[in-house]
Amino acid sequence: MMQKEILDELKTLIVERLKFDPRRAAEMTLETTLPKGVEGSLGLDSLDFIELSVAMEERFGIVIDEAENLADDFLSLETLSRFILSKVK
Amino acid sequence: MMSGRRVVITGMGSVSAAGAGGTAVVAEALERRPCTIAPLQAFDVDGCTSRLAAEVDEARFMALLDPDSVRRLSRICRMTLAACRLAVDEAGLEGGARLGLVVGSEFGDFRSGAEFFDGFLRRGPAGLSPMVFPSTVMNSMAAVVAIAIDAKASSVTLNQATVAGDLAVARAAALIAAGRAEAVVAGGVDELFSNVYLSLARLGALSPMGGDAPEGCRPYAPDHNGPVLGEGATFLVLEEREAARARGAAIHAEVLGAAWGAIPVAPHTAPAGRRDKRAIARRALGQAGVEAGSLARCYGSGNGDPALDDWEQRLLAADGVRDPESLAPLFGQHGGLGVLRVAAAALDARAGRAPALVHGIARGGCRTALVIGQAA
Repeated sequence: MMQKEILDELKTLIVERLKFDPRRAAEMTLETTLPKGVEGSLGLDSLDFIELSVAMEERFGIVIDEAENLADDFLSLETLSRFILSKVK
Repeated sequence: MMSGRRVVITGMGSVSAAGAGGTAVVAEALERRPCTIAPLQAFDVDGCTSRLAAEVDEARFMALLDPDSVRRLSRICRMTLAACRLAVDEAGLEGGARLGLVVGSEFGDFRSGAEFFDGFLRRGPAGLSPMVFPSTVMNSMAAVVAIAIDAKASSVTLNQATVAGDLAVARAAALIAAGRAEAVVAGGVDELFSNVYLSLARLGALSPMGGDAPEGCRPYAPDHNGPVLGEGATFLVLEEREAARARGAAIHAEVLGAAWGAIPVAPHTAPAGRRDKRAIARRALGQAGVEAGSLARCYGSGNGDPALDDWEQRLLAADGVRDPESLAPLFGQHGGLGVLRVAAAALDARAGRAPALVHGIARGGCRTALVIGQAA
């Protein structure tokens, strides 16, 4: 799976599961940051990240260890797509 | 007069198949009477004997909301929020410790419940969505709205067939009359959902109820053959009269009487011969000091369900009330319909007409009566 494909899947999950406006998703790039409090980010909070994790497990067939500190992996679509790539390989 | 403090109506907000807006939109719908019942578009009804509904265009209420701030809310919560905001804005009301909320719904957020449990069926506990979970409870609409409008007094959710909306208004009036709130946003909401619609149709609970006559909403008519479902949210702002006057609010009408109760019957039956020993309509008329013969109009809950329509007419006739008028053909049967009947009565009062009785009855025996008239 290529990073570009993962990015497209993540955009779909952000629209379908986090209920973002599809027009907003069209503007998202690998540089788009995710957490609330980061300037210019999507403003995701803890509930969004849990929902996104559940959706990612379902979509990519991966298992996310909740005990791990994943803050750096969930920082942007770039870091998140790399995290998924490392799990699916 | 209702015992306790006097209650007036100072705002309304509505999202229905006939439009979305405040008093002007409701008044226009009642005047223009658009044809809102049409073949269902939202989901497939192939093979189903019922095909009609009064659907709400989602774009209408989303135009009233900020998409980002409501992205986590379910569709029914968005409709509720839009209608409540319209009502509160129209009344010019601020939130706080003396503002309450009463939400009536027949079905609640079934759509979110189904989505949540579908996740479990697909993937077990790991498939349960934390984002959908808060919407699986009946009071999710009230919870969302109470936060949004800063309503910190009583928050009540009523789950009742056919009369959820008018019952919510009656309960809200009682809260204010008893001094438990200064103002209450009260109304009803429901949305069309495929599982519910198709199941009710299969049970023969919707027009044409398994018969051969044409499907349609024909309350009180000789050929009535079942309700046609609608969807939407309609809310009113009720306030203690002196508080409303003190802040210079525009008063539409006064709730002169409000009563509710249950006639003991099995939930699936509506026996036309069963009398109401608690005299709900007479009680509301008595509170208002209004004779049945001097009513300008009665807005009844007739929705085309033959047993229910006939039972309602018989009970009303026993109290001297004749020729009830139904708004179900205009908006479809849903939790907001009873509130639209109260809104119609309030608009009549504002136009200077004599008091109107808003009457409701459900197959399970729940009966409501409100007398709405000009504010003294």
